[in-house]
Amino acid sequence: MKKLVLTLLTTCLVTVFSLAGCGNNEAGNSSASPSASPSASAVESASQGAASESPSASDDKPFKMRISAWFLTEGEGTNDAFKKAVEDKFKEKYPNGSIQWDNLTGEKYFDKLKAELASSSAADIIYSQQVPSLGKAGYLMDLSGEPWVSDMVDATKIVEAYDGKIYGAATTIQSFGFYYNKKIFADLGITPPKTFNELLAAGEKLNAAKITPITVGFKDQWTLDYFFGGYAQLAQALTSPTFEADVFNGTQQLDGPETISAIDKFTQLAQKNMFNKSALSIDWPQTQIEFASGKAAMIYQGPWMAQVTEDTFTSKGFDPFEVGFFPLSDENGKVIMGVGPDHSVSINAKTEHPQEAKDLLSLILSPELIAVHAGDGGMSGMKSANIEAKLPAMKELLDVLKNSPTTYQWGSYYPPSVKTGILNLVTKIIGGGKAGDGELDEVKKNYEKDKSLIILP
Amino acid sequence: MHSSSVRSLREKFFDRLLEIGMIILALLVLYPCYYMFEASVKLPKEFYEPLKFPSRIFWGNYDNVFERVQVGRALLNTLLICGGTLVLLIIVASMAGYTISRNRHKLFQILFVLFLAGMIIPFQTSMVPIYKLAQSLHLMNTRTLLVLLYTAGTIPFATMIYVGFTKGIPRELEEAASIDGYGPLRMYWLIIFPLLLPATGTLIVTTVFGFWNDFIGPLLYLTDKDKMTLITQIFVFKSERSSDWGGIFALCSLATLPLILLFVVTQKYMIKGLTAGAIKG
Amino acid sequence: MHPTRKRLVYGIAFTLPALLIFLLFTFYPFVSSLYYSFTEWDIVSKPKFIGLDNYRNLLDDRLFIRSAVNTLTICLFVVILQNPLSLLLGLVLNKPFRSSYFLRTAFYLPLIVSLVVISVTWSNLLQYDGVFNEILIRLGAETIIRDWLGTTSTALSSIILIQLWYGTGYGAVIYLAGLQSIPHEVYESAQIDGAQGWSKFRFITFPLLMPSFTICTFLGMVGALKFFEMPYIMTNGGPGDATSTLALVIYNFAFKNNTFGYATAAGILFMIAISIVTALQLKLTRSREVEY
Repeated sequence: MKKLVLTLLTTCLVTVFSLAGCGNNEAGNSSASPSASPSASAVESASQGAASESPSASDDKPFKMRISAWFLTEGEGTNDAFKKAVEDKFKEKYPNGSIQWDNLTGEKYFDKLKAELASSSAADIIYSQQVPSLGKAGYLMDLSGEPWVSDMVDATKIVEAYDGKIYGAATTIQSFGFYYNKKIFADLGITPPKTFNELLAAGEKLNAAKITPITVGFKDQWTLDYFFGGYAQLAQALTSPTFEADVFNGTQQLDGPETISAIDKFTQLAQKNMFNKSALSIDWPQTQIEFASGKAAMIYQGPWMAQVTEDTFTSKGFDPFEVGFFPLSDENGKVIMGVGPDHSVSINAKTEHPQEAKDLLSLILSPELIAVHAGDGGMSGMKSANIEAKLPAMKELLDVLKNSPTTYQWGSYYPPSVKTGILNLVTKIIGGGKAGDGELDEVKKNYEKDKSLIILP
Repeated sequence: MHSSSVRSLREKFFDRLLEIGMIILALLVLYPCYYMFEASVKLPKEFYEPLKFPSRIFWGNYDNVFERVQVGRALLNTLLICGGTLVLLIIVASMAGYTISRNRHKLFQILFVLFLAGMIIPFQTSMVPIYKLAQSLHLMNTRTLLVLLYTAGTIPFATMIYVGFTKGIPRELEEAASIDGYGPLRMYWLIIFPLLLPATGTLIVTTVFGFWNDFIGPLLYLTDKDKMTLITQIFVFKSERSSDWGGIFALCSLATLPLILLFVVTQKYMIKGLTAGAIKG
Repeated sequence: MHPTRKRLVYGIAFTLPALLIFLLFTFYPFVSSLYYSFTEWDIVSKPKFIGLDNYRNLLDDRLFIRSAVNTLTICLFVVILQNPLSLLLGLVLNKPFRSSYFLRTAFYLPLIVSLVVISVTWSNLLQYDGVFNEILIRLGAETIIRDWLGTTSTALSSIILIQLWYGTGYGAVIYLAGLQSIPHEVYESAQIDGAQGWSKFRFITFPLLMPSFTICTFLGMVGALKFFEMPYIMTNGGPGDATSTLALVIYNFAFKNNTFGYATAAGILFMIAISIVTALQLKLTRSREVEY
């Protein structure tokens, strides 16, 4: 009996270890030296001391800068080029420095970031989307005195600051709208809808032709956030330019006509079959395929959409078509574009290499690197980085932005539980459930409960 | 008296029917696993015709996966973590289980209840405190942390198994050993532990799959991709390239294959182990 | 030293390592989370003590209550459906079929596969344009196809069915083992007494299987109550709150809503619920166990 167990165990272990022996692929392991453990670099930086003004070659010990992000997926878009550019430029300044990219694609990144910050184990340079609250908590370095602050697009300054101090910068900004397949529209004689009802009418024609009107991937909740937010922020801004602050002060209602009209519009969209049947179970990457393959005629997305579609044509071998853009509008044809930072970058207040981090950040925010990062599908958050719009859809988007009023993104000043509550309600409706069960009351309750999480400008 | 060997033709017929029915059911149950393997060798464009049999075996997805993901590395990490946990767990739990079973002192009975109570604590509650703890112990982003966490989490179950199996060892052995001059440590490791090997075997075989397949631990506590386990890599891969189904399933297949092999080899033993734990627990 | 004293000292030495690891990594985090449950904390600023507010709000929180209901539903199905199915399966697998080895492997196999792999595979199978719907179309049932995991009315049932597929094998094996440990003599004497088929099962087999039944029910319930991975990967609680379970909602309270104190309080309530349910269950079934 003993023998049997021992032989079994040994056989298993041997088999498994021999499997481990082959296929040890080091090719994917880029940039940084993995062996430099955190405690080692802590010892070196202690000897470097804080804010020393002389950068570069002052010490010979190799050090590692960690940059964390959620969108720097390898092999996608301009990410590889961006990373390389950053590493090369940083090496020029600090020959002994190396960069470690901690990228965790998707929403899990934010979960992890919070836990890391709470336990003081976060990266030196942090990409995030909630600079004010992180700044408030003291996690970020005050960057008000940095040279690039004057280069920040004005609209972003408010969203990157807390209590008058700048804690981050937006490398790219976003504004959402409808991207559509020009060929399908032409074939079916549809013109870009100028009102909500025209959108529904277009949808009817598309459904008759067995084409999905709008492809959505609500498994990634942020897509719903921005799409629903489009209607909500439009209604809110029409009522009051400081709507969300008004709610905070009690002069506007969270469950008022603005929110309700947005929910109502979504109900109509769902009931009139404007969405793909798999709306709730597919995610953003899958909607890219639905759109680029011609299965769906429209998609509501950010400024990267045109470029992403081009990329998808090549990578999946679909027949290319020209992509157009038109903004979201309400039943009266009113358009207000929501604008906000997309990728914000900051420095960890507890970094062990403050000067190096500041220099690295300046590099990242320099016009050349912003251009590399944003590629053809981005809008820069820094004024001097002028990205030329090569694709027609981009030109159309920039045109609209120039000629329309703008507002902040929906929910910028609501606690997360409120947004989640409203979005869950919308999801329920899309999924065929019935609303009107006191959900909005619940949302209001959560608002009061989590009011302390709101950071007003 | 013939008893069970006398069975009517009718019974035999129904049994045969039942067997066939079960085989069909079994095949249906296995279908998702089959689907996973099949999808991993299908050409990308054939993927969207789910019921179609692959026109040929396409290894491209695997090539793709090996290029993008450090499969060998991930496998090694999984092995290290599983191995480390098992070793630590066996050592501490067997000693504890043996003591609890043998020593009548109330202290140990309370201890046992404490362990069992721990089984109820869900990980969500402790997530952030563990993060802070790991930081102060300088164990962030180490596989050691995972080993310790898994061990701690499995101590209740493991102790239970050892307590049960120790009951089957006659006390006379220990009495004889102490008369022969064996100290407690020697007595334990040279005499008792070898006799507890069935328990150890059971423990390994019932828990290793859990350790192998855990993904939340590495996802939360490991930040370096080259320390991540195989299963976590699937999750990360899916987040990064969620429309590359061929690749996703290739990775899934790679992660499942060793387990299937292990399972087939130790199947009988697992069943014995489960039951022994169940009955004596 | 007195021999019992000596034994005590050695006993302590033997159990100390396990105790230390357990205390440090399981108990201590739990205790500190107790503290956090009485605070308002977004992990980013300092925790603020608010007494019992979290608990009060929780008992009034629709999402939390819905998740509790979902979790109990899953639990109920596991007990009412999965457990008997496991028993049935165990009985069938106990028969001397030639294909026994194959059958047992097949039914148990789902359990050794990672939940990540399972969730990913099933999500794909149940997609609107996936295999499952494809088969339904071929069978001519086109009208009932839908986005199974994305439709409010079918999401939870779909997940429960997947859980059945996954968990039945585990229980079956435990029952199988229990069945095989009943000595033949018991059956033979039953035969002599004239017990057949159903009465044999009811009065002999089942009572003797009680230990297995206890274990199966216990493990099944605890597993159902802690249900997390499948909804997390497949639907993240959606659509709306249709598939939200307690474990998942606690995770989301923490990481989605940034309300860590609230989440921890929910975790405590969760734990209390599990303890009560399992204590009741154990009491009920243990008392019915029969020795032979």
